[in-house]
Amino acid sequence: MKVLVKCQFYLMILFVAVLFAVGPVASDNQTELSTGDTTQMAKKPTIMILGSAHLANPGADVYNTKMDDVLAPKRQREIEQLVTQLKAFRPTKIAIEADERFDAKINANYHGYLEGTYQLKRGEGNQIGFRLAKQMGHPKLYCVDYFRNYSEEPDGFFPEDFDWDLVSPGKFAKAHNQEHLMGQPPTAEGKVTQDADGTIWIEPEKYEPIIDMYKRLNQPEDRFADHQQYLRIARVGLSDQYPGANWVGHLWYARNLKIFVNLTRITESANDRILLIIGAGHVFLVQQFLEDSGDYIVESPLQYLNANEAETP
Amino acid sequence: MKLQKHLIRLFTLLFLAVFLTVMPSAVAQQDKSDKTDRKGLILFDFPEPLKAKVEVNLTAKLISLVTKSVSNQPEVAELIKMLDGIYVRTYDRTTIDEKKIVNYFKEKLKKDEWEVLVKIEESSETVEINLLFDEEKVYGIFAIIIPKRSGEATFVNIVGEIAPERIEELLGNLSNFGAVDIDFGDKLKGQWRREDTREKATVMILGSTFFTNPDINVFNVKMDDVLAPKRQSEMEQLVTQLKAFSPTKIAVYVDERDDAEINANYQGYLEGTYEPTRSLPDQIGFRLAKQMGHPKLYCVADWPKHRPIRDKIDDHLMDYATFAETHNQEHLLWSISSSGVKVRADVDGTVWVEREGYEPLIDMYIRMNDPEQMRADHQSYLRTARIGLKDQYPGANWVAHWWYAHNLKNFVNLTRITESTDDRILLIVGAGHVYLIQQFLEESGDYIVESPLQYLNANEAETP
Repeated sequence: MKVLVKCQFYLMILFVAVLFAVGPVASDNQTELSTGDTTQMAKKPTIMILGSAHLANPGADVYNTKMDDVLAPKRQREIEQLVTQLKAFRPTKIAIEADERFDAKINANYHGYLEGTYQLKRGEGNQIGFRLAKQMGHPKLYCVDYFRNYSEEPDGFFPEDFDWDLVSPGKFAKAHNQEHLMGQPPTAEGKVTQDADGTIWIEPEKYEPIIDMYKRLNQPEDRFADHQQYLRIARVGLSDQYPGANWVGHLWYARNLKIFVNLTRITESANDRILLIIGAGHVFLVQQFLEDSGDYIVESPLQYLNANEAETP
Repeated sequence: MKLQKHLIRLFTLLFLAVFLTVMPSAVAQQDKSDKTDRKGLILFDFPEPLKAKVEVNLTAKLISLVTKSVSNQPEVAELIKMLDGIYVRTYDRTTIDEKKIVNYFKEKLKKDEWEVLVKIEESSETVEINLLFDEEKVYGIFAIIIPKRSGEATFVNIVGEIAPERIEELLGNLSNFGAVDIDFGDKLKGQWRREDTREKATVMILGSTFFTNPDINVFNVKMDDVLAPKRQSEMEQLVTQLKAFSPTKIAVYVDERDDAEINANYQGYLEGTYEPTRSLPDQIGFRLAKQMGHPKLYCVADWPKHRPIRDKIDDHLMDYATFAETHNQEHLLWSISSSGVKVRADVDGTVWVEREGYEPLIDMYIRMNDPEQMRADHQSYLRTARIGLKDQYPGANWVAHWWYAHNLKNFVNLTRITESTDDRILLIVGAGHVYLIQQFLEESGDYIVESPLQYLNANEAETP
């Protein structure tokens, strides 16, 4: 019994210590806010990256998950629910995976949508971006991608006589028995089919609610596994040939670095809370650039995606 | 980060409070008021009597009280609210059978199907972090932390339905438990990954300056003559310390196309017919390779003779410096902030950095290989990447098409010379490259990267 009494005594000391500890923290917080110091203490802008599937099935990726029609009423309700949950992030700006060249066109569409003259298309930029931007009362969206189809529309960066084999790991791997470095389609996610033009589709075997799909797509482990795949592709090559490293460095890293740069260009203040909606494959690198820069706080969308569970009775 | 700062203070004070009132083991043994079958709870029920130096038992009740008192700080409250218990034991390593205890808890964890999240086995410390989780959430964290020098072994069990994305935040604050003086924040960065237990090859990267003063960098560190007797004896000392890494291969930052030439020189050096020059490979690489009995060295740089892609890109598209100067973006350019150095530019514009006063070689290597310094360097590249406007990206073009692409090939060349998981490769490169090459190696999941800092000892150099 004596032991128990002693134990309680210690716990009481602990309680008091805790209360003391908490007090100063709270008041310190307020002084920090009022001084408005913009040097080291300055607040950082926040970015949340929502890794997405391409809802309109453009077939632009190495592996493309086949999405059923997101304009169907059930899908529309699910998307409304998703947008409601994302709203809790209180974005001040919404950035989407569209080349900056399309900024004017996309924002003309957005204004049409605000005025009721434009019907939302199937893409995630329209379905999630436009909806959320309207609900937040944003005047515009931001196109932050840098994606040029160099071989078909030369823009002067790579010369017209550029040898595209230098950046074609797939072709090299096939010719040099290095296909093990190119990775396998994710058969666990569904049936794998291939189009006549070579596009690989993954057809999900059962219905997956939109919110579950986004939870799955935003698991850090999976995004990291994607990134590892790129580092494996980088190894494709022999002696003084580096088609893998060239493709990963000159195309993949370069594009994602420019997406990062474009995010810094649209950041106007430390109070900015930018939501970036982008293909899930980009999440790892863009987040790494943002974090390594030391200039941003990156929030995970999972806490918002998981929020609905708490609300159900 | 503000939240982190608050947590640090909160945890520190909490633990300080506990520490000041160190409970005798017998007392804490009574404190099993919480349910003992809770998912995520690992009881400290080692069958033999143990005397703990530090013993912390924060139960759910206590934690809920803390939560109430921080209700004006929702972020902090939210994080704490997830926790149902924090239990810590710190033992003096001389009074316990460490292996037996560690194995006892590892067995328990295995039985309950816990998984290892992080495992660090280094000569300076052992850290193992285990998680109990399913697809939805994490139920508990169990950490074993043994910093070898401190003479203490610490076991931490955090119980609670912890959202996976908050784990890093929680673990990041473990290092602030007054009693556990270990900083593994950096090692956990981005490590929300399941530990893979495959055998892996080891790489150690020694970041260096160039002894021969080539003007190839944005900033060039001016080095005095490394062939001077004092520098030579420091060099011998450095090589002796690096030898403890027991490298199986030494890789140098030389164009792989010069492999034959370098190795012809190395053979000459072995036979006594070649006089080592001031160059980095000669001074450190040759010496160490000879002492280790290596037949050759490995040239892994893709540098700088053949650049089939970069040579095709119009230089002005990557001329970030001119762009910055003509567009008022000079604040995005590099700056030298460290004290104790003099910066001057040659007539041709080459910028030299000279240290004021004599810096012994090993001190220099300890300074250059400090992870914080490397991170700061890398941040400068990401700042340079921002130089540009509208459709122009001279900064990003230079950083991606030159810097990243080049370092990625250095990484690929390391993978090409790796023959087995027993390989221990020492890479000697310019310090600027360390951050990225290390990032590629670690993220590939195929390598263990060791820091040279654990082998470098400045004090030892002074003793005869």
